[in-house]
Amino acid sequence: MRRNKLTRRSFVVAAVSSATGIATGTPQVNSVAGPLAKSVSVLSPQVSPGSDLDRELLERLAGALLPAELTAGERSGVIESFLRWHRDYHPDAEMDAGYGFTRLRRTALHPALGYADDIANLRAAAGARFGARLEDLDAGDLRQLLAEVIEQAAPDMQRLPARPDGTHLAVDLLAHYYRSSEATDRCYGMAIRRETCRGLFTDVEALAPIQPPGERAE
Amino acid sequence: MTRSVQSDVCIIGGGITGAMMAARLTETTDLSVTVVEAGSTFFDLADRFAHRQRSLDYGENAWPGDTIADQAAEGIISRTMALGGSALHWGGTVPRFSREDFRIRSLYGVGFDWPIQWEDIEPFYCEGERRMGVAGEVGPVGEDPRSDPYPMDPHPMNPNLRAYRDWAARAGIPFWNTPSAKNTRVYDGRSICQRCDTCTICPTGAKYSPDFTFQQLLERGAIEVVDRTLVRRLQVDPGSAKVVRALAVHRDSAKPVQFEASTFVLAAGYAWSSHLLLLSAAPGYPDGLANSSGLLGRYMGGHRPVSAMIEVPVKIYPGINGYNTLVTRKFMRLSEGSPYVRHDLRIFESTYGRQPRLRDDAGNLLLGDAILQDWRSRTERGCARVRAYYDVIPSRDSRLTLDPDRTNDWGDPLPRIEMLDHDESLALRDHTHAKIHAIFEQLVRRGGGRLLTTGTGGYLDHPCGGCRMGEDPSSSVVNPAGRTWDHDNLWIAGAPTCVSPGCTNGTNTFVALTLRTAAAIAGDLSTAA
Ligand SMILES: Cc1cc2nc3c(=O)[nH]c(=O)nc-3n(C[C@H](O)[C@H](O)[C@H](O)COP(=O)(O)OP(=O)(O)OC[C@H]3O[C@@H](n4cnc5c(N)ncnc54)[C@H](O)[C@@H]3O)c2cc1C
Repeated sequence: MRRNKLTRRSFVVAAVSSATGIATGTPQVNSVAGPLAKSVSVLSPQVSPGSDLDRELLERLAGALLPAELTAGERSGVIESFLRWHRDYHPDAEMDAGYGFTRLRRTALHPALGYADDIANLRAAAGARFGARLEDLDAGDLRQLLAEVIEQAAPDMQRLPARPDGTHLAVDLLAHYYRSSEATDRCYGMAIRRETCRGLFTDVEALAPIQPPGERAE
Repeated sequence: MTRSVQSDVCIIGGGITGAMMAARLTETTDLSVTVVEAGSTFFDLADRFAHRQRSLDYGENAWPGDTIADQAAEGIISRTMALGGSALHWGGTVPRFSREDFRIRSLYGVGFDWPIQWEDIEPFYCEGERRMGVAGEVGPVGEDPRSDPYPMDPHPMNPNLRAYRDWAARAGIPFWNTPSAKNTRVYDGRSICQRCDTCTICPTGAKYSPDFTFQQLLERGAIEVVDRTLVRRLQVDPGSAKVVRALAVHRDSAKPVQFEASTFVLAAGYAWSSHLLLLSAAPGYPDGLANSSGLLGRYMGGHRPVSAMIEVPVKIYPGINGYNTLVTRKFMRLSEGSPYVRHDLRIFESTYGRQPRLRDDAGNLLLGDAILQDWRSRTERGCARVRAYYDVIPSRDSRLTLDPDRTNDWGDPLPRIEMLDHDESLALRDHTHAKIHAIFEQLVRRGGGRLLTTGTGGYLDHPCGGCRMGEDPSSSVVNPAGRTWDHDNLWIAGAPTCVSPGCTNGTNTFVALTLRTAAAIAGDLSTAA
């Protein structure tokens, strides 16, 4: 069945008006410029933001966002490490002051603060666009929906950020995977093992190839 | 009550020059030595894996607590203030200056000659390289002379570096391993390098950093270290013109501390050394200590980077060990009659234009397999970052002054650093850049590939000067051994004493100069190495 195409404008209207299913009477984030300046949904001082993310939903998003050649086990591994990354994130931690042009900087608010909004908006858009629950979309529709969401959230972004920065849950998931050492190895098909302490004389002659997709164990 | 610390020698500043000074003095003399450091002490090798990981994962400071918020100089290029100084973070790249660096006026008619020659400092290069533990490869004879072999074999050349080397060789430019203070075997009780590729925080201790020297000296009971204590003034006895004490404040308790010694060594680096002397102005010394020449804080310099990103006609696998690089010293020598341009040249691994992206060149959004396909298609050929540091002759007005508008928490004016090229360098700048660009083009024309971008750095690297050495008290701050002309028990170590910045990383030279000064303090410059 062909569904109505959602324009950027109608998408925003639909998404915002349907996002009322979750609590929004929450603090406004003021001091942070950029992606995290958007309104936040759930701000619990005890629980690390992002820790209540629905793992199954993340796996579905990963299925649409990450390369198909990842095995299910590898995709789960990405989600596992994405969740761990968020669990261990420290807002307002001291950052490197830099070299050349120096500046004392601190890490931003938790990137996951806006994820509940992102998910609510995705659900709303799935309903408005496809008349379906987000969980029920097939990979193609889900990818299409995510593409539209990302166009909204990061209209000018070309390079993926070095690490999740709260631009949007989908972009953060992409950044988390694609900026990893594992993704680099997959791109090159070689065990480069970036930032791995490997011993001085390992890999000196040649790098070892990684197993091609079909030959990797599930 | 003011705490008073007495010793024969008081070293102000616990960076690499302070460490080398302390090590040599305690080994070659019976003098008691105190080191005062404004920042904290990090003897935490065991924690460095964890700090490294958080720095990789989250961009957190791998050396948490290594800066002092209110000690913020305008124009400074590193904020680290801690026992070990900037060399906690450093990359450990340790080329030497070349013979020519010390006499460019005589040889080429520009800039300034030093009052010492390369031969005067060469034994101290050898000593410094032994103390730090340098792994290196001797380049072509004549371009890389040395009297002692490198203490360690060079780092093995990985496939990326071999590919770059062969590419550059087609353009007729020989490159070899950049010497580095990173162990290729267990050395001085420290581990062999594991190529973790995060040299700014070395989790294994294979990279030399001065904290190791301080730790060894403390374990031997050879020195006293007073950390988190900022020296605010040096006080001079009006009769003898000797420095009698250093007045400091303990940063936690805000209590005053004073250091009394028969010899004072200022090892506070290129910025804070001149700064402290300017701050110490007193009756009889209205323009600061050691400033009868009026040159204190002047002739500050550094080398300017000019770089290119070049697509090379071979596959490169970035991430094997990006801190391991290639160098050539071919351009540190001038052919006769050509205008003055001298520079080093390095090749670094690069991912420029080869990172995963969300949109392609046409702006189309990429998701799923498309990102990986796009990424793969852009990595068939690799990229090299090729960088030259060229010699910039410092202007007399390239200087550090006291900033009238900014003070630290103790009310002391902070430094303001403004670097300026000498007129001779200004006149040569276009020619210099054109010459370096011509080399980039030669690499592409003969080696293959494509020039992607070029750029010029916005700051001068490995800064030095401010207390330049000389033979004439009217045109220098210290004598050729590093002793101030105006106060015979006050010495300056390393970077501030440089006459010119050379055209390659400076720290090996700052270390060698410091060791030479230590030999002079011990009363015998012939005790080299
Ligand atoms: C990221 C990075 C990478 C680098 N890589 C390289 C490289 O590969 N090769 C190279 O040649 N160089 C490199 N450098 C530069 C090198 O680290 C410095 O040239 C060198 O460490 C300078 O040593 P120093 O002893 O002169 O000064 P510093 O390291 O600045 O030490 C001076 C110390 O004095 C203390 N101090 C200052 N004022 C006072 C005061 N009033 N009272 C008490 N204490 C005081 C400071 O807190 C500081 O710890 C790098 C630097 C950085 C930051």
